[in-house]
Amino acid sequence: MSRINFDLQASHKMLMLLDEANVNTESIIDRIPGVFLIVNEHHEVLRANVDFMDLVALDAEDVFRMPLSTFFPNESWKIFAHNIKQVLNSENSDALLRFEMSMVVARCDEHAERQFHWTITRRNVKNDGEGRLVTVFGDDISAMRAAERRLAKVFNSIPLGIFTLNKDGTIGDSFSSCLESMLDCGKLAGAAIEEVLFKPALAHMTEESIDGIKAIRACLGKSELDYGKHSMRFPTEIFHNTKPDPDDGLWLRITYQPIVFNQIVEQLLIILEDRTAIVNAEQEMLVAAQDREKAIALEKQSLAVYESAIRDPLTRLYTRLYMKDAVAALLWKHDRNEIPDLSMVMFDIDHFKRVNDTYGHKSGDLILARVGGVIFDHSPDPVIPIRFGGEEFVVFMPADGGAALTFAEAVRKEIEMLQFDLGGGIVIQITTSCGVTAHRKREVLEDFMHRADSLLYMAKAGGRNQSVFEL
Amino acid sequence: MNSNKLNGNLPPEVRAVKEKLRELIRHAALSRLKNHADASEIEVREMDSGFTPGKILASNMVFILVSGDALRITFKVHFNTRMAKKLAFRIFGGMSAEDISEKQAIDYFKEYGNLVAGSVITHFGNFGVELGISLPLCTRGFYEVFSDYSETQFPVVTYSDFWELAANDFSLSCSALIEILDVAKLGRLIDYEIDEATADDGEEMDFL
Repeated sequence: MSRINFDLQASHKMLMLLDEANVNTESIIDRIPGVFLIVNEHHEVLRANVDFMDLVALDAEDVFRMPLSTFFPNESWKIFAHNIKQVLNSENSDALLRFEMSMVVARCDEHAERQFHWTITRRNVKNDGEGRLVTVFGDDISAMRAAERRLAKVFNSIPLGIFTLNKDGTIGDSFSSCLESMLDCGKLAGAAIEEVLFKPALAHMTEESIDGIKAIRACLGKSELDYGKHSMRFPTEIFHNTKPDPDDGLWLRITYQPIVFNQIVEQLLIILEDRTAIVNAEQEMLVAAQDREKAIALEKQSLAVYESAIRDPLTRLYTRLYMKDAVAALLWKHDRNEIPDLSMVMFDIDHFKRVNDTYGHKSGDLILARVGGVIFDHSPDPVIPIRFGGEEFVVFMPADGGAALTFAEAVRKEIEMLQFDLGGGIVIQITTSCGVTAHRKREVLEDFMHRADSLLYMAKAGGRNQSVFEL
Repeated sequence: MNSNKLNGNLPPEVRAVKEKLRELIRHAALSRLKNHADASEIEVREMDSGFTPGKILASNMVFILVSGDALRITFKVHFNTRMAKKLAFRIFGGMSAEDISEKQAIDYFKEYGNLVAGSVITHFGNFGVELGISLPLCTRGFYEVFSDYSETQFPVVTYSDFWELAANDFSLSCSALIEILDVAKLGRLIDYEIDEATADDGEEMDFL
């Protein structure tokens, strides 16, 4: 075998290896994720990866020499072509350009534009056959942008003002559509936070809160370890008012979140919550609570007045004022069979005038109080005991005449046993006479009482200290 | 191409060798394809006037090296796989081009490269110039941009040739980068008659 043949044999082995390497390399290039293209200076596609061909629904031979402009909307393409030119004409052979732009895709399930992040670099070649070349890398960021848009929608839809504060105390990015209306300011980016957020609130801020504004600036650009001590002083609620009407402002709650890079507080994320409606509601509730307390006090007062009007302070029994309404209700119920029986007992202290005249009104009052007490103690609900006037007492009860007589006798006998120590060694006893009767259906109160009074009179006439009844 | 520029001050016999080499390689490419594609109507055409060496001619290319003491020829055939499948399916016993795989399409043109190189070395063997051939390699047509087509005259005469092989329903680009290492050994080529019968031989190639 000649030397040529030995050489060729060696080359042959090398070529086999290169062939295999070439196939693998091409396969790797084909499978570069995202878009990979080699484009000549006439903007023709010379090489494309599989992802690109999938996106545009074409094969390698269709794509070969296709104008790259085919895959871009007109206006976008002008910028893209300009960027290619920039890279090709750059004095730096390693020049690269990065930018975002949408590309027209034409998969079977969609025909739309998708957002890509592009990187263009220059390639050096050995001949002028294709002119100068660029490589184009594209990362599909449409899903990320869509997620950002969804997030922005969420930010915009929530009634919060969200923005970043730069290291120099100016407003950076704003993330909510209601921020401008909240602060009543059209141009926020670059504005000083004191101007747009705190100046319209100074009138309602305490000295401590005003001092806290300085703490906001003080923490920016400083170590995150110091953030805590500053943040304790930050103003957290302000009344922000840019209107002539002093009440026409917003109550804003402010929360702060440090954005830290390399342990330094580079920015603050500030969130404003409009609490005006809540504060107003709280104030209304406070006023309502105060009004309610007043009403309760008034009610208690009225009740006390009413009580004093319907209660005899000496005997604790009801007065005639109460009798009219309360007894009318009892009569009404008895007339309509809501209660089966209704009776009345009329008491009168025997010879009370003589006691008064002999021992004085003070002694008379003592006797009246004790007698009233006995009657009261014998009158559980719904019995209605009334001091009718002077030494006369009337008791209404939803019971028949027999029960009323038993009641009258029990009271009369207890009073008969009482001993009144009037002082000075004087101890007396008294008696009472009683008229007892049952109500007749549709009988008016006057008639009912008149009959009881007649019976009482009969008891007096019969010798006193007795009960006369009509069942 | 500007032939003055290509030939410069070369002696006439070197110019004649260059021209004869071009003729022989084109002839080998044409005759082998007629057989391989079973298409007698194929003819050689010149490239478009606007053609510049290094321009990518197709999505794929197969290249093969013919090499000896006197001469090196890098022959390239530039093809698209879609077209390759149309030509290859009969050879691979398929019913249609769709039955042909990418690899089969590539193998079809690798085999064509072999045939052309084999034909070239047969011709040179006829007048005593020994040459060997490499394995054919296939890669993407894109790599043509890295080919060096610079012309040289001394000590090695380097030049290139580009042409099309066109039939009724397809067209194929071929190229050859030729390096003459020892023109004296190729002197007999000038008077060599390229015999159609010789080119159409059925000799076994000595693949190394």
